[in-house]
Amino acid sequence: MTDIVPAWAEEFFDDGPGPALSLAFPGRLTRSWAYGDGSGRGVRVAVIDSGIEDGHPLVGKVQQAIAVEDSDDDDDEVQFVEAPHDDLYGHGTACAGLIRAMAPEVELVSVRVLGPDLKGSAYNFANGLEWCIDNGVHVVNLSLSTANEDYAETFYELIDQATQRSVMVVSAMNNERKRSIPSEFAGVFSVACCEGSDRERFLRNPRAPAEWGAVGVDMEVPWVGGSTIVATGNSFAAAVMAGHVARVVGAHPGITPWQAKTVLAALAANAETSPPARSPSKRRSTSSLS
Amino acid sequence: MTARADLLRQLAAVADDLGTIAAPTEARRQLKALCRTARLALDTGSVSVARLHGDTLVYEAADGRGDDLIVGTLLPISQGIAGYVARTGQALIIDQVARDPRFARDVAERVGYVPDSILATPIVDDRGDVIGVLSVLDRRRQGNDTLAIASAFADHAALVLPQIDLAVRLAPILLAAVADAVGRSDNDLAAALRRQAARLPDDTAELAALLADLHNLSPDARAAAVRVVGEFTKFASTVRRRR
Repeated sequence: MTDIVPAWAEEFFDDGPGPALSLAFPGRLTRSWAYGDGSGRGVRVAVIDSGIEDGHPLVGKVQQAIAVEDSDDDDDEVQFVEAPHDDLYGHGTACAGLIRAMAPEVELVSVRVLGPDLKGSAYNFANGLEWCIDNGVHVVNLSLSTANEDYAETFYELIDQATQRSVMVVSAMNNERKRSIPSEFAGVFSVACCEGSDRERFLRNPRAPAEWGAVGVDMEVPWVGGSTIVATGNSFAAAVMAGHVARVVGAHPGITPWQAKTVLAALAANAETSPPARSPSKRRSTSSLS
Repeated sequence: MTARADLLRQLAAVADDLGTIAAPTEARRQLKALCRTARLALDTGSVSVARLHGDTLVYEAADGRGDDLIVGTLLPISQGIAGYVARTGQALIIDQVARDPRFARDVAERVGYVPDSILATPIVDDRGDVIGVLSVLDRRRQGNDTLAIASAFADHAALVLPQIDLAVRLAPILLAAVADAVGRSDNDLAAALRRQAARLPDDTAELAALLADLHNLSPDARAAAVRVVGEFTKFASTVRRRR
């Protein structure tokens, strides 16, 4: 078992982020109301990553596969190639498998933004996200981020567009304390690992940028070639959280990201309906990890 | 001294300098020491540092099991866990990697054994661009700051890797410059050097020849060329970053 804790995850370890205010709705907000049957039926979930291995035993069917590639005609443009594709590394398959396990009836869309060469990684990544916003995707799993400041404005605009069109963007914080664009933006569901192995349990951190904590340490995940491996990272926590979000969207079609956040906040393991009494200064302590 | 002998003497001096720069042993020794320190600090089987050159990872230094086999290995970034890290800038922590049939085959071919675990973290420059990958195989150290320590070593490697990268890029430029210089007195030698430069990867030598031509223009034309090239470089570096 690994003892590694990705950056930002320590917010959710040991004492965790402390109590998080949950609005005291008239009547209790239950998991069955929030999730419905929990299947995610009718929800299109895109995984923007290295591709998804269609037919992997832990993934099942990939309903649509789009590869964002450099245009044949114009070097500064991209093209969207719709055709079955492989997972180049395994990372996208891992995320897709975790989402499938949480919400088994979602429609999976693979948006492959990593091609055979290095060119335009973040550019293709941004175009992949725009494609999702324009093509009826309800939940986007971004277990990728960029540290490149030049893309901050581009992603800021895209996340605003997504939010305004009720597209849920679930985005992993970088595993290291580096810039995580767009994970740091308020419009996304930003996720880091929390302790434990219970995928049903998640935490809310009222002091973002790492807003949600879900399991992501020592996860057995599907990988290429029909295999599984054990992996650790905020990427996998994000995929688990994307599954929770897909359940909520499945039960409440048309729900906005802000509404979905409110629903999930009520289900968080650390939700409290009275204002948290904890001193805000405590969260800055990182010495509680040992 | 005849002009030809003088030319040969100058060439020998340039070749000597070129050799020193093109083979930056000091920088590679630093990286090797860094790998060793990281291996001891993390109590791990092996630590390696790969430099990103185009779409390829070039393993520049390693310490531990298989280090003599991994150094000098070229790994396309289109494959492997280190390739993913180079592509995305995201650290990856994978255990039981042998279950990945593709990884097991690739790594076994390169280093002669398949590790149980790999922790790969990007080496990032000041601009946030990935310039390499630091890989830790079979870590044994207990402690939840392992990734932070590996990341700190990667930050250190980020200070060393550019020296190697600069030397590798400088070599064809120097060779082309020498070819240009001797071209005025010995066309055969110049042609031989140009052929040599042309064999080097990418179009750096061609660019160097173009810059040499620009250098021969009048001062006004040269100043205009500098402005145009400068503006174009700025434009080209942002055009793919903006939508």
